[in-house]
Order: sequence, then structure tokens, then C-alpha cells
Amino acid sequence: MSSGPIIGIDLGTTHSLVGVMDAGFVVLVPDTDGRRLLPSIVSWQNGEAPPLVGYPAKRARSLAPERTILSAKRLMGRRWSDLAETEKTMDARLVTDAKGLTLIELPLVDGPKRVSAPEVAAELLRELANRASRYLETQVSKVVITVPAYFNDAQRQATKEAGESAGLEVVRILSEPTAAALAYGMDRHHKQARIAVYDLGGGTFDCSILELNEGVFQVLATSGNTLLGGDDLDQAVYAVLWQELPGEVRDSLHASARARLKEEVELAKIRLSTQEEAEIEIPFLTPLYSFRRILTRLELEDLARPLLEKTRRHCLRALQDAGLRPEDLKEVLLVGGQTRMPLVRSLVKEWLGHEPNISLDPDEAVARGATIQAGILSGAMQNMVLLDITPLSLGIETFGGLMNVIIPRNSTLPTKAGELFTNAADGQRLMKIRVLQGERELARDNWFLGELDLEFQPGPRATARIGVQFELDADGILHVLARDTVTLQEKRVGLRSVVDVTDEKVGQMVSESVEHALEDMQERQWIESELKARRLMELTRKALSQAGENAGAERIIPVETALLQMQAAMDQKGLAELKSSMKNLDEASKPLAQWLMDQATEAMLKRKGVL
Amino acid sequence: MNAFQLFGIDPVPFLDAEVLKATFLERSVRLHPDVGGAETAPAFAELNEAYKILLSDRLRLRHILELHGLKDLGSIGAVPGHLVDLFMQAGSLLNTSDRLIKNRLRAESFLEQAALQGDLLEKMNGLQMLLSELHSIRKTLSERLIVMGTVRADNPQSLENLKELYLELSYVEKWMEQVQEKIFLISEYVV
Repeated sequence: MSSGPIIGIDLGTTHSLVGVMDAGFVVLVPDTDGRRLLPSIVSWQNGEAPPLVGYPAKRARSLAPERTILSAKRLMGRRWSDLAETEKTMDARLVTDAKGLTLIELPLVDGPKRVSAPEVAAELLRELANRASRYLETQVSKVVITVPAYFNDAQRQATKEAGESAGLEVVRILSEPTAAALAYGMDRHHKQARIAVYDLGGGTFDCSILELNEGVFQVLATSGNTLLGGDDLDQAVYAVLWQELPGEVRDSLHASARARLKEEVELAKIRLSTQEEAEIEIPFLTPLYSFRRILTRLELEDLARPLLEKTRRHCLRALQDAGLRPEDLKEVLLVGGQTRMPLVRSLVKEWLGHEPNISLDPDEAVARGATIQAGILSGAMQNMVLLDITPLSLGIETFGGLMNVIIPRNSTLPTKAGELFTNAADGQRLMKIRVLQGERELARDNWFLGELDLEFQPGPRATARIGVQFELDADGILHVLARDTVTLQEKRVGLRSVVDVTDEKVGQMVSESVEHALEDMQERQWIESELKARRLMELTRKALSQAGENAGAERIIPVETALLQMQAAMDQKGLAELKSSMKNLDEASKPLAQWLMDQATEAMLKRKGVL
Repeated sequence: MNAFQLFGIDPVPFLDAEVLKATFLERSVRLHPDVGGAETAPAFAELNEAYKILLSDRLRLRHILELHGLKDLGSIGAVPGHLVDLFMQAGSLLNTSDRLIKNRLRAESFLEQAALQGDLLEKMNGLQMLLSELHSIRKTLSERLIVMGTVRADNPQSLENLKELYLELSYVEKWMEQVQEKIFLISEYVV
């Protein structure tokens, strides 16, 4: 299709890699020290010096955490208003620009510098492309970049932008699990096989179902979460250790000490994939305090379980969408560094009923697949093709604020669909259409892609006719074409990314509410908590009477005790006490709740005649 | 677009999915823009759309009817008489399930969650029974489709039969989809 080499890049949350096709083989290109993985870290320096990328940036992390950017992928294509409060507390300071995009502000000596996530990614891409150019001894300008399958239009666009600002032509945005499947299926000429790819990386999760048919790779369904990954486990462990620190140490902990602790947590987590225990030791975490703690695999697994449980739903959803059952699968592939964790392997086996295939290096599979796709695009790989899908439904907002799906999720790409619009009033010249991506019924619950303007020829009501064609290209990126069926004029329509509330307005809203709230906050919190407590009390009494003597004293007595404590806290009107007593009561009633659930299940089984 | 023509087959009500798929894959290897470049992209998008239509019983029937000039099939009119009871039953079960799922999502404390367990099991049971009933109806519809099978429908009577079958399929498939979705949502709480 095109001349010149095309390289494949896995642009990961924590690590990135680059691959090239060399005489029909995939080669992942190492740096001059022989390392294939490039830490996805960029550290800006004061003065004229160019930013540090990869390992040097990683070393700079504990010295200059405020200038060092990790996990920038999590911010790709995301507006300030999309970020949760917890996501705004990175070591680097996050700010928003006039368009509502999220930027990272670096406190350099010459004054603050603002960079976007695509700019950070561009530094990584440039470094990797240079590596490939050195290896191939020719200037590389074309690239396939992988993204999580569940990335939406804006996130894919941002990735493309990153490539462009690194001076590269992005010939394909490829889904990561699909890339992994390519790497897997490459040397196996299955007549037909259906496989699942479970991809848990540093910052994102996807589960995809594919069908292989002699060189044709067809993605059937995908489901995922672009904000769920190994980083979250690190964060959970870090939070526990931080809580355990003596109060005065916690208060005096600088950003660089926090960064050290986080690094050690990550290393300990990795060790726990092969060891039962890992020691975390940091001499002089503060000048007066040295840190030492043994972390066990069991402890780590307890923290990991709730995170992993979230991935289960996505696997089941993908299977359901593909119309398959676990036994229809031939193989389950694991990809992404976090799948080295033994617990991940055993849970995936339990959920999908297959001993997972771990023959692929979970860190490298995606980059290999990206390189194979580069080979297909450059014509180096014959008789192979990949039929990918869109992970999210595309739709428009209706008058009632509902989402009207135009292209359903899991449609094979490239695809297009049309919709006819007409003027609703005499002489109407303009119509605004809000375009959305997502699976929720209400328009406002979905990701708002942007707004497009349709221009009508003035005329009586319902006489104008504009056909709008929504096209998702092979990269999963949206193009809109409007065609006036009366005048036959065609026009490409750009989406305007409109921010609902500007930063200034947000600031205003926040300060207003703070002013009003301060006076009556105490009062309101008490009223709300008391209401909740009364409801909980009523519920608990009901459960107790329902259970009667049968539940056994060991389940009943803790609940009764906790109930009395809560009553006391209510009488004394202590807000903090009431809140903690509610929490206690909930915790104490766990065994009773479990017993009641078992009773319900048993009753149902009896009714069905199974018991 | 005539999806049948594109695949080079007669516009008949019943098609073999495996044969269709083989044709689709074989042509994809040539027409996908990754292989053929930007010039073949429109042809692939057409192939893609035609495949989607031909693969689904419901969309295929609708396509045949449209090729015969029948319009306004989007709003599919009244529920067929013999399905009215099932329709009422499905409607109320889906509604109450929806409310229950919302309550369960809101339930914060363990006891609150436990209190809903019986109802959830109850609904799950009802939904599964309804689903298997829908499955068996769907099966008889498939059989009718096979009987109409490979004969082109071009006289008014056979078109009328086709339309009737299309309407029933539309309803039954929609309900099945909704029931399956509720079962999926409830299965998070009920093992």
C-alpha cells in the first residue's frame, strides 16, 4: 500500500516498545543498553536541555517528581471535567486550559511550562522512532500505534496527534488486545479458533473475543475500562502503607519521599508474583525515619481482589456480546504486565474455564502485533487481514435527552451509517446535533464527542433534507459528511468540542457553594447522617426479627451490640461517632447478611424443587 | 443497495450463515482498506453493511420487503395477536426487574443488600423462564423461515406471510435482547 518502512509501537501506560519487520521477522528494537522496554516517563529540565525520556527520566523521578510525568496515557484526550477528583492529585500539577483540556503544569525556574498528554507521548514516540531508524539505518516516518480497545474517539484522536507532533505519520491506530491476538495467531494457521484476550496493563483493562479464520482475524466483541490497571493496585498498597506511617512522618513526607515509597511498592508487587513475601526497606525516608515493612502475597491479593472483580464483568459482557459461552473458546490469552500475578491467572481460569495461555511475553505481545499490522499495511505480510470493531456505540442526542444509537458497539470497521434530518420550523437555517459515544440510555451519561452544525436552505418547515453520514474509519475515528439531498451539496462537517462549563465557572461554582456551605455544613451533615442512621436502624431491626433465633447468637449478638452503640451515638449527637458507629454496624452485620442471603437462595432452590 | 446482489445470491428468506461468512471473509481479504488501500474502502464498507443485513434473519426479511417497495417498516405496528399475553408479561417483568436492579445498585449496607436477595432470585427465575419460552417461540419462527426457505417471495400472498413473520421476529428478538440484558445485570448479584 505504501513505500518506506512502517514500524509498530506499543505506547503503554507504564512501558512502551517499538518493533520493526526485518526479513519477514518481527524484531523488537532494544536501546543501546540492550533494553527493549522504555519506561513511559518524561522529565522536563530547567534551561535549554531537552526533556529526559525513559530510564533517565525514571531516575529523575525521585529527585524532581514535580517535573516528571508518569502515566500520561491516563490523561489522553480527556477533558478536565471528565477527571475524578482523585485523578487530579498526581505528583505533577494538573490544570485546565480555555478549551477544557487537561494540561500538566511544570514548575521550571524560568516560569511554569504547560504540556499536554499528547506532547508527553510525542517525546516517547520520538525516542522509539529514533531507535527504529538507527536499527533500520533509514529515516522512519510511518507508524502503527496501539491503544486500549476501549479508547473512545477523542482518546484515539489524541494518540494520532501525539504521533503527528513527533513528526510521524500514524497509518493505523490499533487495539491492544487485537494486536496481541495477531502476535498469537501469526505462527498458528488455525482453520478456525475463537479466543479471548485478557489484557490488564498498567493503566487500562480490555477483554476481547476474536475469531481466527486462516489469516483473517475478526474481532467479535470487546469490553473494558480505560481507567483500571496495575497502577491502581500500586496505589491501593501505597495507601495502606501511608496509613501505617506515624503521623509526624506522614506530615513531613515530601513529594520526592512519596515517589520513593511508590517506586518501592511497585517493585515489591512485582517480586510478589514469584515470592510469598517481599520486604520494603527505605533507609531515611525522612531524615529521622527509616521505613521497613514486609508485604505478603496474601495481603497483596486481598487488595487486588476488588480491582480484579471489576474485570470479570467485562469478560462476561464481551462473551455475551459475542453470543458465546466460555466453552466455545479455544484459548484464553493473557497480556499486560499485571497478568503475571498468580491471582490473575487463577481467577481468569475460574471465570473463563480455560487454563490461560501464557506463551506470549505479556509485555511484548502488543508491540509484536503492532509490528505485524505494520507488515500487513506495508504489503510485507500477504493473505492476512484484521477486521476490528468499534468498542462503543455511536449515537446522537434526541429531543428528550436520550441517546439514539446510529452505529452499535462491536460493529466491524470501517463502517458508516446515515440519518436524515429536516428543518423543524419555517425558515430554520441551522440545526445543532450532539454526537455521543457510550452505552447508556440517557444522553448525558455518555461521552460527549462534540456538536455539529447543519445548515439548511431556508424554506417552509419539513422541506429541507440533509442526509448525514457518520463514518468510523479503520482507526475507529469518526468522520461526518453532510449531504443536502435537495441541492446535492456535500460537506465534511467538523465536530466542535464544546465544554459545558468553563474552568472559571467551575471555580465560581465551587467558591459559591463553599461560602454557603460553611455555615450550615455541620448541621446538614448531621441531618443527613441521622437520616441514614435511622434507615439503617430500621433495616437492622427488621433483619433481626426476620432471622429470629435461627441465625445463631454469633451472628446476632455483634449486631445487637453495634446497634446499641449507634443508638448511643445518636443520643449524644456526635457526628463523627455516629458515622463510625454506622460503619461498625455495617461491618458487624456482614455475617448476618450473608446468612440471610443463603436463606433466600435456599428458599428459592426449595421452591424450584432442587432441594 | 441490494445486499443479495452484492453477495451474488438470490433474494430468498433463508440463508446458510456459514456460507455467508465464508464469502464475507474471502472478500474481506481483498477489499479491506488495509490490503486494498483507500480505493477499496467504500466497497468494503458496503460489503460490511450487506453482511450485517444478510446475517440477521430479521434484517434480511426486512431487506426483502424493502426491495419489494414496502416502506415504513421501522415502526413495526401492533403486537401480533397471539403474542399479546406474552408481551404484557414481558413488559411488567422487565419493568419490575429494572426497578429492582436500580434499588440494588443504591443499596449501601450489607443488610440492605441481603434484604433484596430474595426478590432478585425471584426475578432471575422469572426472567429465565420467560427467556426459555421466547427461545422456543424463536425456534418455531426459524422453522417457518426454513420452510419459506429458498423460494423467492414475489407474489402478494408470500410477501404478506413474510411481513407477518418479520413482525413476530422483530418483537421476539427485541424481548429476548432485553431479557438477556436484565439477566446479565442481575447475575452480578445472584450466582
